[in-house]
Amino acid sequence: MDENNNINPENEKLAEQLSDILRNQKEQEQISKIVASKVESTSFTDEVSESTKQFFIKPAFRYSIAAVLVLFAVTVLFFYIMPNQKQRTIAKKQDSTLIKKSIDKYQPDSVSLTKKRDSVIEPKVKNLQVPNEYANENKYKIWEKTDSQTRAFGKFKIDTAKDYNLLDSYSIPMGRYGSGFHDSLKNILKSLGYEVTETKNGEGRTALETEPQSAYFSKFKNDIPYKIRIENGKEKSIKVKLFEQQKNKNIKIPKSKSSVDELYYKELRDRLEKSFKNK
Amino acid sequence: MVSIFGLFRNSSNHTRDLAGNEELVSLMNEIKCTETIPGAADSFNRLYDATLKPLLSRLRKDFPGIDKDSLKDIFQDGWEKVIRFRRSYRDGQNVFNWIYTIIKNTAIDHIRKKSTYKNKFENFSTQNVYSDDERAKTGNNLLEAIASDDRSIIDKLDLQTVSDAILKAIEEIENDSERKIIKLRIIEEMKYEDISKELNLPLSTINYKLNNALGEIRKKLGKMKL
Repeated sequence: MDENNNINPENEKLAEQLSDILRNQKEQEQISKIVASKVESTSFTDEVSESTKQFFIKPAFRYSIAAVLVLFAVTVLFFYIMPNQKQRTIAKKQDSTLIKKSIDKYQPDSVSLTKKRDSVIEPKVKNLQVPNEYANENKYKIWEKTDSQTRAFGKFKIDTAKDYNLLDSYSIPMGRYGSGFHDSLKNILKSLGYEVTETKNGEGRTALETEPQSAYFSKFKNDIPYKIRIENGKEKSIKVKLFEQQKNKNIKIPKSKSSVDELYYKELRDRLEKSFKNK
Repeated sequence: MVSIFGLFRNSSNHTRDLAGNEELVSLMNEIKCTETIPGAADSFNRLYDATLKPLLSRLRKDFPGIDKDSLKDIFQDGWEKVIRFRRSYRDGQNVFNWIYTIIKNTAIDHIRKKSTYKNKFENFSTQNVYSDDERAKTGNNLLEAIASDDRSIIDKLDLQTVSDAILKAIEEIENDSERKIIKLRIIEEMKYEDISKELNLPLSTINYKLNNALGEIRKKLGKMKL
């Protein structure tokens, strides 16, 4: 103890230091207690990575991937393939409907079959190129494709020249079910007593049936040279000879697949018969 | 699919969200200004919850493969430091970065300590094991350490051990009156005048008794080794 009965400065300092230590310790305890309660309640498991690992390890992941792929495939099927398929089916249906409608609508009377055979009919296609051998004769009949949409099943119109007095004008269904104009005409002519000879020129009948674009029909006295120009430029010639002695022979109408055809064949036959009788 | 993407959400988003977060600054200031630790408990809890996920994410990113127990230790020590050194937080600092720096340094210390411990454990048989007497000879004097202004010595002090030693020395004071006075002075941190009033003793007596008690403590602590 010092003279003034005051506390020793060194002791005072020590007291301060001890107080600091104890205070810090007390505070530390409080801090530890607060932090510990919080830390203890915390889950330090890496939930995200653990669940991710589990997700990737589990078969569910594989199933999920498979499900996604299936979903993708179904989406493609429904939104891409099926509409196209449907469109194709509709197009097919429309085609067949069009064909059917076209055939159903076909009326022999509606075409120029009703015209007088003596009337002069101008060719429908004025600038149609005519083979040289017929150019100066003006004795040809022009086949004109009347509807580009009916190429496979459409009508070909025959305009006949007055001189030949054979037919005014009529239409023939082409290429339906493979029975093309060529066969039809050939059969009719045969049934009327004409001898039909064919000069095959490369392409053969198949091409004739499927690819006719235009044709020239002409009559030279007793011979009917029948020429068909095929799309690729090649030509096929058919000579149809007329045998007078056979012209009144009973004619069998060739059987056709539809009543429309039958009507047509009958009409055509009658016309041809009349034409030859008048001569 | 959304849940799958949710699993892979980048943790950096958390950090970006928290950068400059005014709520964090406000909580940190509340903790900083609190005189008593229990008073800061609520603010601490909210700050802890707000920063937990981003802190964990960044720790896992910076210390890949860190285990659950280590994280627990690091968070315990780290957050204790955050509160203890709360007054060193300067206004305007990014709260999250400041906290993360402390926790990251704690993690580095923890990993180093763990690695050293492992090495020591592995080389245990070859180590020289000091006896208590030998440690007493070579160790620092507790009183010197307490009295030292050297931060390196102070930082090495195990606060709990030193506190226990001080309390033990206080309890060992033979004179009841002196023991009571020293407790009021050191533990309760009362002023001399207040102690005088409390015990209804003159100030000079208080000073006298305190000098005696502190002298006794000095002797006891002087004999103790760290």
